Amino acid sequence: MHNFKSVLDINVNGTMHTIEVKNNWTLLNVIRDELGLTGTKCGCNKGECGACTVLVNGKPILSCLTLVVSAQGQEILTIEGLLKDRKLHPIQQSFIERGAIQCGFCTPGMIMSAKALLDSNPRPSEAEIRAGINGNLCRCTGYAKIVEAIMAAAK
Amino acid sequence: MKTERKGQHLVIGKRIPRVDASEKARGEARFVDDITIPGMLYGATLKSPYAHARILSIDTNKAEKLPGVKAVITGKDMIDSKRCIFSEIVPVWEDKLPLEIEKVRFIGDEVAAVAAVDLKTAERALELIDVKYEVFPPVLDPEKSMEANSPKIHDKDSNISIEIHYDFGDVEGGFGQADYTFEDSFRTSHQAHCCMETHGCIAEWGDDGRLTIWATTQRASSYQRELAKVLGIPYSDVRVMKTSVGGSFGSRMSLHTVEPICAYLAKKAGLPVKLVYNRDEEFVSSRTRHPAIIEIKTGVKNDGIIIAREAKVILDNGAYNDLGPKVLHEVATLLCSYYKVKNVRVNGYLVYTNKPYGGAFRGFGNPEVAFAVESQMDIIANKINIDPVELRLKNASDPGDVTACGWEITSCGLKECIEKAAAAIGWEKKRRRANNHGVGIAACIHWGGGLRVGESDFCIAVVEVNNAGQAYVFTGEKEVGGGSDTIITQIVAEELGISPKVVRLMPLDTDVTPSFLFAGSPTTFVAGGAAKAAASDAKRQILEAAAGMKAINIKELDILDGYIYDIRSHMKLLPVSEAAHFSYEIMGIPIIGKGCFNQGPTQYDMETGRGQLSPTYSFAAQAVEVTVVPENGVVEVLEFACAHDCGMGINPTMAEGQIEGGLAQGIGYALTEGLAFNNDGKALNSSFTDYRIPRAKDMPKKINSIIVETKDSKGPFGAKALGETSMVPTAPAIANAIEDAVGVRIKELPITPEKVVKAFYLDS
Repeated sequence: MHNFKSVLDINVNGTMHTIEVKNNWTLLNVIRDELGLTGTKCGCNKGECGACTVLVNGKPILSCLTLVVSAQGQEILTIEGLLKDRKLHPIQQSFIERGAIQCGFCTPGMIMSAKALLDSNPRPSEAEIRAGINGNLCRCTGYAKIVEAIMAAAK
Repeated sequence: MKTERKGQHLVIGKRIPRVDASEKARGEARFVDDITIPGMLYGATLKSPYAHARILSIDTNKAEKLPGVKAVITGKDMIDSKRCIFSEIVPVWEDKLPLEIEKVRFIGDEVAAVAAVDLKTAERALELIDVKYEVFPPVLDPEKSMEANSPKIHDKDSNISIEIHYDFGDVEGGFGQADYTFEDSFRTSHQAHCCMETHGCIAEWGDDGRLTIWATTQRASSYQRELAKVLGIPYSDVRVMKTSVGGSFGSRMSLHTVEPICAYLAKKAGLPVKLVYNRDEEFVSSRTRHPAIIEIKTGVKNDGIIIAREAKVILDNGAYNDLGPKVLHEVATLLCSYYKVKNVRVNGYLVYTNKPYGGAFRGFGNPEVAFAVESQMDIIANKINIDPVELRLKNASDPGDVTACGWEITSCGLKECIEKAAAAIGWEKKRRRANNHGVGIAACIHWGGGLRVGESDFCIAVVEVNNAGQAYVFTGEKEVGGGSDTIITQIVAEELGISPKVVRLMPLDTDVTPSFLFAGSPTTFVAGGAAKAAASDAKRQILEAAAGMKAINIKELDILDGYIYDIRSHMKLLPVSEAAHFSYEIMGIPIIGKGCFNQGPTQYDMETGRGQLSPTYSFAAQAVEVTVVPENGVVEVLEFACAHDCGMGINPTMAEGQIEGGLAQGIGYALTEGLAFNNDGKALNSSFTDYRIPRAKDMPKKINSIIVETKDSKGPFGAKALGETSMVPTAPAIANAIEDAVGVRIKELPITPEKVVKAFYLDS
């Protein structure tokens, strides 16, 4: 089964890609290894840490648990897609200003979860923010400044 | 525009954003697994399924024949098979081969490795390697392991790797004078670092026989030397390159098996190899915090003054030493240095067991010590009816004190930390409240300068100022998340009098950036000290050029905001770039400042434990408010107040980040974290689902970080270490708060709901 291949058309960060994939590849594999977009990280490869979070049609998903074949025809947004003409997204800017980044490994996934949250709930409470990023593990920051940064970006 | 400094800092103490924040926010920071080298192969390691076994044979034939496999190695392939992972301090402590040859000593111990064209092929090849073992019963309990008739794990007569016996003052006399004697036993858990990035390495050999590595390292220069030693090549033939590192917390402080294995695979394959652990491997095959059993006997006078202390420590080494011996020494000297008590005896044992082995982990033994000492302080306070804050203040160290084992305390804000943390949490109001609410406090001492792990605490820096007035900093320090790159930038900018925006830290490359033989939280102290010295030297050269240009005595000149000005007249004279240009192009002298920070030979005797461990010490106190539900044992952490004497907060935002991050690890240590093993020695919770680290919803909504500035004379701009202390008092503070809330005293970490329920309903 795992030698079967497919040809996919997927839209990543606004660009259409036609690529040949193996049916057992995950979206994370393809984003990182085939498309060279290494901003999205692999923290556990089993959906427990959130480092691989990307947006598919605006919804946050764990790309390490998503088979790439299911991304056919979908719109995928990764951390690299947040830059507009090399300008930082307000969430990215807020993370930088508020000291919400230390080692940076959880940051891309965290920012994508934050974007999904704010896109669906532009004025979240602190409890809603914590719930929104509860699937993104961070070992460095204790989450305090991440929550502050998301709160500030919401205003 | 300002024309004089007036003793104020321009950049130090300011909340400037981290210099690496933008690339990380964009996802452009390059971690090991983000890097690809042309022709690169993928490596994987074969681990022992048994906790204790002799290796009878390893047959790699089938694996070698699998299409796509380019190299298979076992321990016997590695040069001069006796080269151990360098344990750094004392050669007799070295006991770990990168790939074991004779015995395996824990589930996760590596015996073979494969490099192939892709990871799946490498993993398939591992399944084809046939290893025959003679299985022995595993020894998992350190107290049983110490017994004379226990199966021996190493080729030694005893499973006690090292033991130490420290004795200061008159312990018998002290207990003789005590009005109360307290004896309590505490146990701490097997904490895993859980860095978000797993261990990884890329190794590439050049035609000239030189090795280049990109790896998850915390200390480039030391890795260079250690790896060279294991590989049997001169250290100048090993080149360590910059990577962003996804956390370390001590797990990347000493060479791991990953780097030499990867280097060997690359050598045999004749191609670069990338070897990255998956998350399961990271949990069991990387190092952990040592579980500790600490029995502590304390003699106290009626007025609360601690008069004598005796402790027995059993540190569960796991299968190998790594930095365990050094951790035991730190545990012992820490036990001798909490508070003013002069009569202290410590008997410590580092005991092998067939489990993942311990190494450096934030706090380096102090979280274990603090749990015991600071939990017992509250037991004492409750018994003799003195408020826990009062008891600590009565016994707290002062500036100028010398601890029982000879730590000479210079700056000391311990009392201020205790008072501020208590006040901030609302101690008076909230203590002994009803409704299962409680507050607790704990304090600590910690090394504030270098620690001398190895020959360490030696750093060189070079600051070049070009003819555009921009500064390039060459330092061997390695950013692993704590923000040292930014601190160095601020220190250099402050010293030179220029904007941090024109200070650039050169990417680490041991071919270019000079030596740095230490890293960990005293990075600010050691690397910052060197950078400050180098910047000062560069500044002198700039002013020399300016003095020559303007015919003014150099003593009358200073630099501010990128301009050289006359101190007497407050007149702006010329920009730094002009003086630099003059120096380069007219005088033919480049502006290159050199600085060295060298702590000097150690004054501390490991044999007796006596002496000055560090040039300075940091202090902290953390107070916490919790609520406990006795019916299900759930503890909710509501609020923390953390007061830290780190000398000076060079970047307050980053200092808070260190406190908040350490606090999270401390909360995990207190309530949820610890590897659990079955009777075969297999880890039962080696995944994020079962090994629970704090998530966003688990953290207290309010964290009050208070920096107490005692401005130590030895640190750069008065700074002392901060990064480790943030998780030291956390667990005992929580244990003390639980006692305040529901009257149960838990002496074993983690304080799980089961333990709380059992203690509440059965034991009280």
